[in-house]
Amino acid sequence: MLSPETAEQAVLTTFEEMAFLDVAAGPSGSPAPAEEGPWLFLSYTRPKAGSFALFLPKAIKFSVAESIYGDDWKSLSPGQLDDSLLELMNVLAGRLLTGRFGPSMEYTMGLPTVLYDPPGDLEGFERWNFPFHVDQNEFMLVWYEVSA
Amino acid sequence: MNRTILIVDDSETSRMIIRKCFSMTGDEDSTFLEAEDGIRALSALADARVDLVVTDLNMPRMDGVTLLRKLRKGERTKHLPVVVISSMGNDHLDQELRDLDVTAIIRKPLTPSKVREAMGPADSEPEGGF
Repeated sequence: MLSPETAEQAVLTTFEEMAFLDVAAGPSGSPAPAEEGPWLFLSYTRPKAGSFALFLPKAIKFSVAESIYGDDWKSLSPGQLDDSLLELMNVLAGRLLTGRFGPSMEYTMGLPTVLYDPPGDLEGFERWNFPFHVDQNEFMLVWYEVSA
Repeated sequence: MNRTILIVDDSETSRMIIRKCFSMTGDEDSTFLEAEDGIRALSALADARVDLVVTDLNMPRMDGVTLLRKLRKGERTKHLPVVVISSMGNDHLDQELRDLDVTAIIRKPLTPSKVREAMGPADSEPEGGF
């Protein structure tokens, strides 16, 4: 499985470098708002089959896009907003897979996609949740790995 | 520098970042062409004189490694400088890329300092492009 330390290092580094966001591991401690947001989803097929998903509330989505484009999110197209998140997901994927399987292991990953519904449980896969937060905004990394 | 750089990446965001980083590290006067995958890159190379290719690896239709192999087999492109920028990385892949004679391998997220460090003194004025 993906260790909490690997997840934390990959997420914190990626958000700091790409979006200048100060992320902390774990829940924020405040009641989570019932907010919809996109799920980013990416599958890998080697050396094991699996996937991972990242839920981002809209506040963090806009912060990421604004940091990457250096512009107000309202001036960005929906395509640019989604694309900036997919690029963040792409970088995160490289770090997570290298951290999970090691730098000597070959891995094959797919292309990131945006989902507007939670991926839920995937049949035949074990699931681990890793909560994070930026200030009061919580987000979630979900790691799926084929059952042994 | 004043050269023509072909950026190959399926992400519009990534192409924008690459363009900005190279513009900030000596290519402010260069011309940037863009392609969304390896197939479009080959098409662009057939139409334009290009001095440097900067490519991602993980792309639909034709990935970066396949593009590199095709470039190295082409008479006009076998010596074309290619920089790989990707979030993917492992020892085997890096060796395969070195065997394909890439100029540099840069891990995403791209920054101007990474470009400067990777290109270094070897990134001189082109002697003649494709």
